[in-house]
Amino acid sequence: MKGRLRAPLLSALLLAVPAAADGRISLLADVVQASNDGTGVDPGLEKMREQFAKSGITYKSYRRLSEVPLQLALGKPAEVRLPNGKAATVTLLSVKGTQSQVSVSLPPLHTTYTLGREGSVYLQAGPHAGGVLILVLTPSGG
Amino acid sequence: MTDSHCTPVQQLSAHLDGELSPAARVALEAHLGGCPDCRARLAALRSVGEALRRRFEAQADAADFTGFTEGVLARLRPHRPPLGERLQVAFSEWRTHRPAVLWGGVGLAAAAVLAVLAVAPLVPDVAGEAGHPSLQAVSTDETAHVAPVVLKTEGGDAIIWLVDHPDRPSLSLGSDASVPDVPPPPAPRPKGGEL
Repeated sequence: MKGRLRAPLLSALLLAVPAAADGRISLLADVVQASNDGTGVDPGLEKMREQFAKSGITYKSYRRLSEVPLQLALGKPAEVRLPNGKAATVTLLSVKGTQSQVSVSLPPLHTTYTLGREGSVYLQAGPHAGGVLILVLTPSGG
Repeated sequence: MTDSHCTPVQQLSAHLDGELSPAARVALEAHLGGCPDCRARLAALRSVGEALRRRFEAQADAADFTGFTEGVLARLRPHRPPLGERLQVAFSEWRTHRPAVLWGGVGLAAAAVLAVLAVAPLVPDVAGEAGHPSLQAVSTDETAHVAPVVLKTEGGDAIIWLVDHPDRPSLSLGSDASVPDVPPPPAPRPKGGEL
């Protein structure tokens, strides 16, 4: 019985904790354009639209422009290039147990945050083509 | 039941048992001295009494009383008063004999309850940090003319939005999006915020 439970439990733990023991984590970086041109909301972005609307930020259209998986190693910055010419630099600052601290530099915005097992951080990334770009960082299990 | 003899058998029996008053005993013994019939009846009565006593003693000697005491004690049920009464007695005894320990314990219990109440509101935040992102610092460049605003969604996500800073030139967001009416960040520039 114990043997049958061990594998699923280990798998669940590995999936639930994005912070790896070897100081590497995986993030998913989505670049989304929000605008009031049209009403289209790409698949998977409806929840984002609702959350933004409840927070007081109302756009009619949400388009996913890119989806970039990031493998972050401790202290090694990864770059996400945006279609408006900007670039976001994402760096894994520390890993303590299941807590991973990440810094994001998206001039003029700079932020440092601790990754959760779930949940996203949305960063306004400046104007683009009549709308605004939003960088969405979400922990991923892979 | 009537007795045709001059002295009733009950009086003779009471005399044998030493139950007569001194005056009645003196009077009876005076009578016995002059009445051979009553002396004979008294002797017979004493003999019967002796015979019965020997018989009962023999029966008692023949009986096996092994385990009698233990059997009786085993059938006894200890009296267990209700919980409230027991607590009352215990509290009374502690208050009388160990007041320092009693009130010290009450104080410790109250402190523990207060500590739990004080820590309890923090627990969801800690769990929240483990489950959702937790911002440590948010800032913008000095020359950016914008200030960050941190919003927390119902799902625990964080939105970092940029708004025009009153003391800085305006930065166009490139759209007519409705941004929540948030108060300006503390001057001269915000150093960050937490969810």
